[in-house]
Formats: sequence, C-alpha cells, structure tokens
Amino acid sequence: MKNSSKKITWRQIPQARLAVWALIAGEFAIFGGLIVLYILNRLKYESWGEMAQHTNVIAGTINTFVLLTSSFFVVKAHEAAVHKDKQKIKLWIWLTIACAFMFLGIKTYEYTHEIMHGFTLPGNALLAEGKTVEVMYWSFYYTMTGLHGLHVIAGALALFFVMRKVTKTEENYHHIEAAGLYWHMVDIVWIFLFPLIYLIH
Amino acid sequence: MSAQHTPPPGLEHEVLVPQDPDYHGHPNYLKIYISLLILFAITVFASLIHSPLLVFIVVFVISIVKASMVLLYFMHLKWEPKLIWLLLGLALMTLLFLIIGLYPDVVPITRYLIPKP
Amino acid sequence: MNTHQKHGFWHRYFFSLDHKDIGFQYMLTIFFMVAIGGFFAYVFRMHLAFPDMEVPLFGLVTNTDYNMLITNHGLIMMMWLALGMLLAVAGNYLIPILIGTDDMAFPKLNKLSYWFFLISVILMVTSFFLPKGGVRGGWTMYPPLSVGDFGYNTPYATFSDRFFSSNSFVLLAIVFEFTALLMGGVNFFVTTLNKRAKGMTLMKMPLVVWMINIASVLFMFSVGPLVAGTFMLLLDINVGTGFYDPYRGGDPLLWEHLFWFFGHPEVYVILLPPLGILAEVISVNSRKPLFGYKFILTMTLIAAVLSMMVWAHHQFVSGIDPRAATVFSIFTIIISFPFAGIILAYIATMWYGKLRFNLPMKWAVGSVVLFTLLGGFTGLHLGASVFDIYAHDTSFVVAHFHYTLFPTVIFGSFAGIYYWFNKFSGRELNKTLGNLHFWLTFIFFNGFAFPLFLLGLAGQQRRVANYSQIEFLMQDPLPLYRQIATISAVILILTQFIFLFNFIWSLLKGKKVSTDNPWEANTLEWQTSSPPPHGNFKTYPIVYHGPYEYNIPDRDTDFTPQNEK
Repeated sequence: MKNSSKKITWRQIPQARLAVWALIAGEFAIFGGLIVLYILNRLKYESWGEMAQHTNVIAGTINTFVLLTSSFFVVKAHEAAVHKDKQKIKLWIWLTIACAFMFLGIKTYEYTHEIMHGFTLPGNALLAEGKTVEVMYWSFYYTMTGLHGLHVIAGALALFFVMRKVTKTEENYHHIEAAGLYWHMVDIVWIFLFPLIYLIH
Repeated sequence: MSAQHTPPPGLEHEVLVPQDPDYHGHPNYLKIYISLLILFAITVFASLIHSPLLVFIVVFVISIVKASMVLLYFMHLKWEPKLIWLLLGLALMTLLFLIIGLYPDVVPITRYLIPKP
Repeated sequence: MNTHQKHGFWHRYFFSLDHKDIGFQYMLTIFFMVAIGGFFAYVFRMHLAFPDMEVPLFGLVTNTDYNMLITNHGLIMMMWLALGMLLAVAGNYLIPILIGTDDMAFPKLNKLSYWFFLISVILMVTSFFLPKGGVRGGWTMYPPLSVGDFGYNTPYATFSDRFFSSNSFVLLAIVFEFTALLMGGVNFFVTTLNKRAKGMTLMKMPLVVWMINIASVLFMFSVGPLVAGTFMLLLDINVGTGFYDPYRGGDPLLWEHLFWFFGHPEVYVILLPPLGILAEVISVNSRKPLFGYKFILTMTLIAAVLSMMVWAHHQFVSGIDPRAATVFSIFTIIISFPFAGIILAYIATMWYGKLRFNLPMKWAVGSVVLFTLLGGFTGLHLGASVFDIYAHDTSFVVAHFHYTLFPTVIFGSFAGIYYWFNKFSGRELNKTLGNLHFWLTFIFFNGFAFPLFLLGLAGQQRRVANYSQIEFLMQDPLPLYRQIATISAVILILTQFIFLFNFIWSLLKGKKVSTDNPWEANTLEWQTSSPPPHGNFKTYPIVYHGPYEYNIPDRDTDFTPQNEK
C-alpha cells in the first residue's frame, strides 16, 4: 500500500461526507445504546442463552455473509465513482441493493418461523407458560433486528436515489461514497448484532 | 466549496484534496474482504466453545476487530482527519459512560424476579 | 448572492429556504406553544393557591386535570420552548450571519427540519383532544404510569386504544422533534466548519456560535440512548412488551436512567446557547474584550464531558445503588466548578468596563445574578445526596430548576431578542414597554419562585393537586406563600403580554432603525443592512481579527468591526 506523506485536514472534507459522518456518530449512539442495554440484560439473565438456541443460526450466518459482501460491493462502487465510471457504479450499487433484498428476504423468513413457533414481540404465548424473563429476549431480538432492518431499507433507498442522481447529472460523484458510508454503518451494527443475539448460548 | 477542493495557500505540499489519487490511500479492498470473512468464520466456530463467558469475550473482541477493519479501510477512516476520529470517539465515550452508569442498577438486581401475585 | 423579489405569505411562512425565515417560523411556532404552556401554569397555580375556586378561563380543576396541566407544562417548556428557542431559533438566525456566509450548508434539510418540528407540535396539541385526554404522568414520563392503562393490566385494550392515546402521541411528537433537532444540529455543525468567512478561524468566531455547536453535539450524543429507550417505551405502550415491566424482567428504573442520561446533558444543552448570547451582549455593553475566550471554551468542554457523568443525581431516592449515588454526587459538585469559571469570566468582562445598561444588558445581568446566586448555589445543595434525600420531590427542587431555567432560557432569549430585533426586522422595539417588561418580569419572577424554596424546606411535596388535606402544609404562613407565588406568577404571565404587544407592534409599525449598528458592535451581522438581504451580505466579508476588540488603544472608535483592517 503506497501512502502519501501528505495528509487531509478537516477543511478538505466535502460537506456531504462530513454530514454523513456526523449522522453515523449519532446513529452509533442510538444503536450502541440499544446494544448496551441488551448486553447488560444478557449478563443478568442466563436463561436467555436457551432462547438464543431458537434463532436460526444458519440464516443469521448467511445474512452476515450477505452484508459483508454488500459492504465490499459498495466500496467497489466508490472506487468506480472515483474513476467516474458510470456503468461500473450502476453495476456495483445494484449488486449492493440485491444484497439488501436478500438480507430482508432471509430476515422475513426467520421472523415468520419464529412467530409461528410462538416467539413474538409481546410474547403472550411464552407469558402464558410463566416464562417472563425469556420473553424479554425476544422483545430485544425483534426491536434490535427490526430497527436494523429499517436502516437496511433506508440505506438501500439512499444508495438507489444517489446512484440515479449522480449518473444522471454526472456531478458530485463523491456522494456515492457518502451514501456508501451509511451502508457501512448498517453493516457494522450487524457485525455486533449477529454474534450477540445468535451465538451467545 | 473552494475550501474543500483547493489546499490552503502555502500548504500545497502537505495537504491532500479530493482530486489527489492518494486522497484515501490505496487499500486492497479484496484483501480486507477476505480477512473479514476469515474472522467471521472464526467467530462462528468459536461459539462452539463450552464456556459462555469465554465465548462472549472472544466473539466480542473479534466483532470489534471486524468493525475496526470496516471503519478504517472500507470507510477510509485511516486517512480521514482527526475530527472524524473525535466524533466517533465521543460516541464511544457516551456508550462507555452509559454502560458503567447502568451496570450496578441492571445486572446485580434480582428483586424483580418475582411471580405476579 | 441571491436577490429575490418579495415572496408571498406561503413562501415566507412555509416554503422559504432562507435561514432567517426558518428561524422566524420556528419562533412563531414556539410562541404558540409557550402560550399554551404558560396558560397551563396559570391554571394550576391558581388551583394550588385557591383550591376550591373555579379558575377563570378554565373551570374547576380536578386532580386528573391538575396532573395533566403540570405534565404538559413541563413537557412544552422543556422540550419545545427551551430546545426550540435556544437550538433551532438561535442557531438558525445567528450561525450563518455571524460567520459571514449566505445561508446554511443544507438549506433544504433546514426546511425539512422545520416541517418535522411542526409535525411534532401538531402531534403534541392533538394529544390533548384524544379519548383519555392529555398525558398526566409527569413530564419525565416514568413507566408504568406512562405506559398507562393501555399496558399489561388491561389485556382487552385494542391496538387503536393504545396508539391513539396521548402517551403514544406525545412520545411520537418528541421523536419527531428530536429528529428535527438532530438534522438541525448536523446542519449547524457542517455550516460552522465549512462556510466561515475568509479569515475567520475557529478562534475568531463569536462565542455564541461555539456554544450552539457544542450544545448540538452534546445533544446528539446524549439523546442516542434515549431514542432507543423511547422506542422501547412506545413498544411497551402499543404492543405490550415488557421492557419497563418488572413482571416481565424489565425495570422502570431503566427508563429513569435512559431518560436522565439525556435529561441532564439536556439542561446544559439549553444553558450553553444563552451563555453564548450573554457573552455577546455583555462584551458589547462593557466596551471591553471578552475575558478569557479560550478559558471559557475550555471550561465549557470540561462541563460538557462532566455533564454526561452526573445524571443519576435525579434518581438519588429511586433505589439506585448507594455507592453509585456517592459517585454521582461528587461529580455533580465538581461540575459547578467550570460554570463558576464561566460566570467569573463574564463578571471580569464587566469589571471596570464602560457599562451601558441598555435593555439587552439588563436581561443579561439579571440572568447572571439570578442563575448564579439562586439557581447555581441551590444546585450544590441538591447535588449533595444527603440533602437531596430530604428535598427531592419538594418545591425546593421546583424553585431550583426555575431559578436555573428561567434566567437562562427566558432571560437569555429576551436578551437575544432585544439585542438582535432591530437587526433582523429593521425596526426598534419600544424602550418604555421594554423596561416595563424587564422590571416586572424580574420582580414577579422572584416573587413566584422564591417562596417555593421556603415551601419546599417546610416539606411541601410537588405534584400534589390539593394541599388542603395535608394539615402541616396548611399552617401559616405556608398558604400565604403559595398565594404570593401564585399572584406573582399570574402577574408574570400577564407581563409577557406587554412583550407580545411590543413585539408585534414594533414588527409592523415600529420606528425604523437609523443606523445598521446601533450597539456599535464588532460582529459581522452589524456590518450589513437591517434587515439583512437574502444572502446576508452584498459581498462576502473578509475577517481580519476576533469579535471582541473593544476599546483597543490607538484607534478612533472604541469598537473594531471584524471585517475592518
């Protein structure tokens, strides 16, 4: 890796990217808060480990692979944007959006199965069995993955609209990177969510 | 706008602007992606260890490493100015204060594990 | 520079992209909200002093009515007035013009922020008209009371019962408002970093710009966990989850922590912009450079970090770990140190200055005196957990926070309005009415808030609808104190109508300003016309020195505009 001895100072950050980094920092505070609450409750309730076994680890693994790959695709789109290659930009962004669809599809499949087995957000079926503590696991599960899923949708929409605008007007190519940054944040949140929810037995 | 795409006068040899090819370094994105997949595989196999606390620590540490790689290379944090590092550091500081402050009132509390009368 | 023709009503009040118009839109909306919050205060104070009387313009106040009135008064004033006026209005009006640029970095995002704010106001006002009436569990929305009787103890409540409840609507209103403020915060931050005039380094910015930015960043980070917690509370209300329900492994104390984790930095978020306004007003009217610009900034940053380590002093008696209480108590007492430093710097600025006691200066000095002596010191009292165990939930706390909030939020806003009114409207506010407004507000605010200290020390609990059943609180002179507080509060509220009349009359028919720079100030907004054109300046200004160069030797005037060599 060839590195220049020159550096970037904060004056050379384009506005769009600075704004997205500020947004990302704020979102880290929100998701981070939720993850902190989950971790604290997980440390408190040993019985959550048993509930975690009812998650579909294979589906979660595939989803993690899909998101990591989509991050790779979006950074290739950024590379294409630096070279102002419209065709490549469209290719890589569409691949990223396809990954988003795959992620959401697998998630929907998981949710359907879990709801059919009685693991719901308010958890009435579990409550009837007296399993008050285990219900909290599912409440956190749906809240965290649901909120994350909303951000996947938002990120995919952002990438789509930015791609259309940039390829049509042929200016502000760095907006692709800014939208990509948001997508990477969504990926990072999932990097933490997956092991904490699925793998901690 | 001009402040971003032209270096300050007198500093042309020290400061990078977005048009420079070295602006965000030259990370090998494919290599980083493969490393991420390898770490991911390690995470999944690590979860088979029998001690829950050890699994928790190993998995959490690997997650931090993966997140750092995405941040530093895919998001180009390695080449970004310190302001961005400061913003992320503040977010991290917030979460640290939150977890330290909340720990004594969440984890050791058992008074609520009572059945509904 | 943009040169637009005059735009119509809809453009000015809804669609304008100009930051000054958007600031004005925010201000009018906030005046509307304050009218409601102030009216509620009038009603419940009348009820407290004269319990069995029908309150004029409202009727008989039942206990439920009382709970609803105090809850919504608190919510409106803290969330919409304080945050709105000091972040949205101040930031929108001041930041672009004080840094010498034409508008915000993202004008369309700015417009969207206002619309989100408007939606939040509509949701909040709608909540009063929903089937079970407005929220009534305290402005802090503690569960299980805030989960309402739509939670776990009425299994037959339908989803629409739960969703169309005021608890749900108010929380949604707060989510929209916070989104507006977060978007605004990003806008302020990027504008300040990227759009400053040539020559204006960060250390040459007027202090108020620093303060609004630090406040926005502090807001952004402290609100994160609360946003997560609010989603959890909304789920508890609407879906029946048990995040805060002890019978389901949840904990109401968790909400308290999440709320106050934001709630405490929030009060510093609303303190910093008025401190910034005070810096401008005090230095201009002392004809002296601001004492210790870098010192004040350092103290502010220390205070901002410390503010995230003190929150559980609101929870000393909620059953938190007592060892944690000790830690929070110590940090609370330490945080008084940087603020004392800032106030001392302001006093040092005034020391041996050629003081001009015009209206903005009166508000500024009144603010410093009341905030420090009565608000700040009683904060030290309450910070000591030992004393707080006695004083918690009494009127002592109510007096403390009114003495910290009112002098900063209200007096600070008035200092700003009286200072900048002639700049942004091109007309002058009437001085006689202004002086009447100031003195009446000052006297009757103290008449309202001071007796509350005495009542609190005597043991009067807050959030109680009717003290006439409690014997020890009906002994003389306590009912008299309540009546003095109420009558002062009513006169205080009536006085604000003097301001409202002055504001509207002067906007429409006030005397036009004779000069662009009546205060003889240095900052860039005074070097352009009153009102400033779209784009703020005819040509982009170039800045040569800092904003506080007053009374510099070897110059013919005692002030040096920033864009003058």
